Amino acid sequence: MTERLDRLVAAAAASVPDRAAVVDGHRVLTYAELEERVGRLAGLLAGHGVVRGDRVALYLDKSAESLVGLYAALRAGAAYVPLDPDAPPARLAAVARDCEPKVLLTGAEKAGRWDEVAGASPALAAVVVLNGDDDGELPEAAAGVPVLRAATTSAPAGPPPDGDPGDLAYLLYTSGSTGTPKGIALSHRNGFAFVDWAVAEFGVSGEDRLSSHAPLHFDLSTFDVFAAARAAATVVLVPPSASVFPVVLARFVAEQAISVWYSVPSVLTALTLRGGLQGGELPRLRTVLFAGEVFPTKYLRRLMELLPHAEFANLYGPTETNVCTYHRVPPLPPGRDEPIPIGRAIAGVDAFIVTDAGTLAAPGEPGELLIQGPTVMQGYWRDPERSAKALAPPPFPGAPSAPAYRTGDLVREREDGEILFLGRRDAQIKSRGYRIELGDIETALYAHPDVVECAVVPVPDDRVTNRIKAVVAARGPLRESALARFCAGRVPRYMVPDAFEFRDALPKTSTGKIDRQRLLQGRDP
Amino acid sequence: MTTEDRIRTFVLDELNFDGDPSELTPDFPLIDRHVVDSLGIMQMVTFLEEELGVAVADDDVVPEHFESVRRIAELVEARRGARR
Repeated sequence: MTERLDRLVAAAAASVPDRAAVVDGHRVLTYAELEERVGRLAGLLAGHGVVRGDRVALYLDKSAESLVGLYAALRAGAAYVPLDPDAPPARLAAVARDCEPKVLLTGAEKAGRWDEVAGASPALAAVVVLNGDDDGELPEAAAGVPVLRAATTSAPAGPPPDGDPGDLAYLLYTSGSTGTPKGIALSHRNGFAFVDWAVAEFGVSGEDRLSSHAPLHFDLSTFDVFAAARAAATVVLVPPSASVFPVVLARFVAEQAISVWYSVPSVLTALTLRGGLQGGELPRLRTVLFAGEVFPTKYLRRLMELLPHAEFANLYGPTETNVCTYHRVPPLPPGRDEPIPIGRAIAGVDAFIVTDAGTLAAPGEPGELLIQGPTVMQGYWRDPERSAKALAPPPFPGAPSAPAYRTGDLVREREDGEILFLGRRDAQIKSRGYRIELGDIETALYAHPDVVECAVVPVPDDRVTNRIKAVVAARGPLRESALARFCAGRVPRYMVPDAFEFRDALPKTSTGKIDRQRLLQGRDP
Repeated sequence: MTTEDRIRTFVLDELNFDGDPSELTPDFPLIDRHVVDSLGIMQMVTFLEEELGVAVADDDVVPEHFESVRRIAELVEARRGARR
């Protein structure tokens, strides 16, 4: 099979047309139905001028329709750009200006805000509403951009345009240190290399039912969506209430007979602590995969005791590299609470540990992790400078000359060859699996006219990795709730600080910079 | 302070409530508006157990009991009643 993601559904539909492809609540789409809808929507996109190399943005809650939209964008030769449906429209507008979508695919629940999000995108040729009543009201067209409903149009499906595995398949926007989201450009080959490895490594087959927990703008979702299609398996969307309530989640996994689960650890921690599991339930769940942050070993061990029949694996990789290392978790002896490794490189990928001096680290010696191979991104969208900094051949003598991604993660190799994550080189943190640049939040706070100084610091928390605290010096009386609300208008909810502390001034280093170490270590009063 | 007031104060101070405090009525939809999210639910349960002193069973942590300040207060009263 060619290394392209746009051929997967057609192949599955040809071999198992009646198998469930997508389960979304009570609705089930078979592969034949999915293929038919993808083809029609791709025809509609082509009719509005979408051609190979274009971008199509997705602005709707995760649903069967959003998966149809994603595949239709690919089928039309375009890349899909999944927008965080809960992010403030102003932030999404910055993304739309950057990636210039030709079409915005949306849902009835979000359609009313299309103009705020994409109205300023000069390339926009149409807004297409993918769900809702056929006779429901549509938002108004503006500036010559028509708003139409996918369901009422029956454009014929053309054959997929010719494509190369190196073509852009999706753009994932992530927190940037200067307050502007940056687009990570991934090709068909990048996604396919990871998915193909994962399907083989974990033996995903047509019998499997994969959960889909992560939102589409989060790179974990590429496993759920594309591994299911690659294996002609079924993907079952996790309903929002199951993400919040652990007992509902346990019930969902049982009732939907989920066999492969993949999510951030914090969800699994909640399932462990509050899922009502006594041990031995969920017999169909054979594989539990997690990524995005460190899974506290004490909770992982407990979950492994509760699900003794399941295999567990830690997957690691920034969005820029896809998953690039993995660790199958062996039985964890009681009392051993040090973090589990991120493991070793997946097939076809090379992981190098490079010291500050630019040499290859000896076993045990800390260094930055560099990743080279087919899963590594094309670069940051329209940002050659940042791309050049992140992607360069490894510096050590005799290194292979292909570009490697500098992860910014400090690691060391254990005696048995497994890699251990030690920390970050910069001000990036993880919270609930989300990757957050502290500077991005500070930029949002500084936009408030009454904020004189601020610093955002992580507060370690073993259930969610980090909570976020903002230390602020303000002029005049500024209420915490007002500042939180202000922030929520600029950054996604998961980046809004959990706590605010107001001070007259922030502590400074001898050079006059804000003393983050002091704030972090809580050494100052 | 009544139980409902204490819960309301907790929502305002600790959870992701970014509206104006006057909007937080007893029936404000906490789940639909993402005030009680995956992190908030854990904080809320810890608060109910440690600050209000009620035992919350895993099976109590379901949408019906957490959709509003009023419903959470009713859960607390019910569990207190059950203990007596």
